[in-house]
Amino acid sequence: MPIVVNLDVMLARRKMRSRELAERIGITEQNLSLLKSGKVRGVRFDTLSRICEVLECQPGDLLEFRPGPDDPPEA
Amino acid sequence: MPPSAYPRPLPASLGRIVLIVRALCVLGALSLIAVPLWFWASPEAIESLAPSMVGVKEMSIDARAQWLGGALSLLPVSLGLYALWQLWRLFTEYAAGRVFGRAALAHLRRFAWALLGTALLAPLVRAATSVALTLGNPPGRRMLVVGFSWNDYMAVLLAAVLIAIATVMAEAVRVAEENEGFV
Repeated sequence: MPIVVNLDVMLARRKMRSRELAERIGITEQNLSLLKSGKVRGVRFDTLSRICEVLECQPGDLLEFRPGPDDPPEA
Repeated sequence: MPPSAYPRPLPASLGRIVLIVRALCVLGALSLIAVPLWFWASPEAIESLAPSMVGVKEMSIDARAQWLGGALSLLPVSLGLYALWQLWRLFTEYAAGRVFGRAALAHLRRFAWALLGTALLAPLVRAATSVALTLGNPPGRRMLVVGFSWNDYMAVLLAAVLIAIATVMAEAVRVAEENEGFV
């Protein structure tokens, strides 16, 4: 998956624990853990906006496109 | 699939329906076993009820007819019990809040097909029962009664609708599973 989730980096920058973020954005810790590890099919705009609001960041700070072997760059 | 996705809290109205359907399943299963046993063991019951059920007036109720009739009823009874078992398990899934699970879909589909089988089997079993009950009659008075009632037609129609709903549910399950991948 060429989309990398940098949520753990943002959490570290804001010195916030996963549990607190999960509580504040209203999802389970388990789902937050899946999101952090990139093991989800997608993120709802609603969830993304709540994370950005709590962590005071932009979606681009959380998500990054890194071309990998699964998705080679166009020639 | 995230483990948090299932189960979901059951709406109160569905909770009541689960209880009612489960009670009806138990009642139906007991009736399916007890009624044919009582019916085929009682020549009086056969004599009074067979004319309206099977459509024969002159019959010879001997041990052979009773055993044959009882054996013939085994097939619809077995299929009926299977259908009720699938319905019970379907509502167990609903009770656990797994409305759009693959297991619920499989039970719904099996119930629908069992219902269709029961509906199609009913006229055939009635015809075979008419033969069993008149087998002891003198030659020329033995009968094969073939008939398809409004109830048979409605049962086939209902089963077909349920099969269609199960097919639609398969798409609903796919969408629900896809949705569970989103946080």
